[in-house]
Amino acid sequence: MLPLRELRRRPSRFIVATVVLSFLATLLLFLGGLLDGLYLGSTGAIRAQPGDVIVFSSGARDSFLRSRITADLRKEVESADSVGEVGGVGFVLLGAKVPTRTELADVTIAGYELPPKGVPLPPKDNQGTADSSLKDQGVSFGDTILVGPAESPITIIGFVDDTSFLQQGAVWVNLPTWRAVQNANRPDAAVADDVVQTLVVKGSVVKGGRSLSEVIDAATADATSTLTVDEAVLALPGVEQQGQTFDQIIYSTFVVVLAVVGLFFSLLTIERIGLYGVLKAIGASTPRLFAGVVMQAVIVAIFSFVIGSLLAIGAAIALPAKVPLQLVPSRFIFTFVGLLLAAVLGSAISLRRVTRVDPASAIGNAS
Amino acid sequence: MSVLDMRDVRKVYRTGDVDVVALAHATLQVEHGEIVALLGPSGSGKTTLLSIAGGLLAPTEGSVVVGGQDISGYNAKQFTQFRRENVGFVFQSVNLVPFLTAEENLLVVDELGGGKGGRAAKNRASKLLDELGLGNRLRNLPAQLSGGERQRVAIGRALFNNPKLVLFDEPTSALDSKIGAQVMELIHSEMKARDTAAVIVTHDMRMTEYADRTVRIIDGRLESDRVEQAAN
Repeated sequence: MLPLRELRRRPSRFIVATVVLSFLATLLLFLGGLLDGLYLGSTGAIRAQPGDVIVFSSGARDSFLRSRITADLRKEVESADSVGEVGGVGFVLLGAKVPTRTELADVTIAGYELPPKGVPLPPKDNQGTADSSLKDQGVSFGDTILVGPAESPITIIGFVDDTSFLQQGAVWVNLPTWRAVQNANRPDAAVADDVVQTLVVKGSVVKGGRSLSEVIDAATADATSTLTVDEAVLALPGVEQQGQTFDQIIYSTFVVVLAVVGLFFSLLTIERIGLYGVLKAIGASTPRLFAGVVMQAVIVAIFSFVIGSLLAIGAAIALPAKVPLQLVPSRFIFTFVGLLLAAVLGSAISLRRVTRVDPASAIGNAS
Repeated sequence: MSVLDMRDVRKVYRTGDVDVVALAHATLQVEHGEIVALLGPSGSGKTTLLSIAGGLLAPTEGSVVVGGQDISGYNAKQFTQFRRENVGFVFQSVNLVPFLTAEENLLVVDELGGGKGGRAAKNRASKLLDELGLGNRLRNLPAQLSGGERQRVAIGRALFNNPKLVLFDEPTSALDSKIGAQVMELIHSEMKARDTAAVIVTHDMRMTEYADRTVRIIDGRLESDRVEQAAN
């Protein structure tokens, strides 16, 4: 195979493109890793919720911390058509003293009734299941952490993955413990014994073409604002904006990759016009020559992806745990596919040039 | 039947509003094993004639038959296949693939024809190079070969597919006269041994002594088509 032999025998010709694309691959993975880290770290506690929809009080503007659902409102929700299991949820963001550390750990005390994904049934009072990210802040099994200025004690009885809320690892407690912590440390936002912030609702199929959200909000005469779990995730402060911003940067970087591949292989094709003329004269077809260009671009992209991945993994290991960089398999797949696509499209820029090479040029200007 | 049979071939290029006649009613036949030297000054049309004979250019008028195939009306795809299977080329410059060894430069022809460079193709390539005096240079890259050796590899590539016709474009112009003479002797002996027809474009009168015939071309017209004594 001609293109492979050239890559093997003349690797120096492809070093510049490989180096540039490797850095771009690292940048893509790094940006994507930051986006994923921010997204996962902000939304884990919501994505783990076991229901179909989340019910906010109507004046809360879809904010978990502002929302208040009273017992009466909860009864109205529970009596709505197609509503199945209902569980209360409450969050409060605080600092916590950890036995082995002088620095406060950032925690979200999360009260619940219906166990989120991976979380056991609600524990006894003053006990909690901690998000595993809190291990980086010194939290260990059996520790009693002292939460907030009131130093409310919570003993850690287990760990669960991927349940952070707004970049703070959750400690999952029963609702009375959450209320006690909320009222002791946020007296300005104290809640009564029968109040929760939001409701997680499991529903059956709704008849008549209406969504479960519409049914619930109609049943409460719009005293509630009901969102699907995905909508509730996007309603978290900054999540959608972060996603859009990072996506724009990432897609712009892919355009740069495309331009680099296009420019590099265009220059390479210009250099090879004489050789292509000879090869066409002895019977090489345009598709065969063009396929060679694409193959080389794809191989350079694969090498660059491997190098870029190693650099990104190295960066993730070297960076402090505070940096919300998370390299997930789907990000690698997305970046890999994106690089391959950019390589193919970028090299396609050379097609016209390859097509225009005249085999007769091999024997000089026809005269 | 002639290996190359060109009859009343014209080639006209359009430059702006002006038609430039590069080849005017050229008629040329080349028989099996015959070596024809095509002699003419720059711009005389010899390259155009060579290009049309090799299926690199389509004639504006006239018929071109090579090895019994009338290629006058071929499209680009048909020309590509025709060149791959029926004609050998030896060029003046930009000749060999620089990152392939001498042997691989021959195997390119097999690869372009869909072959995988298997044992039979490799055997043929090494045998050919051995015949051309390059038996110990199979693994050398073009940059490691002398000018004469490179041209011998190019001759091997041209002969690899057993073509009926080999076209040479000033094969000795980049070589000194001694090496040039050696290459011409080699061309002569190889063509005769294989009964392969050849057309050799040259500026150099001395090279015509290796041809069976010399045809002169001036201003797109074949001026003479007379038999001259071959040197060997």
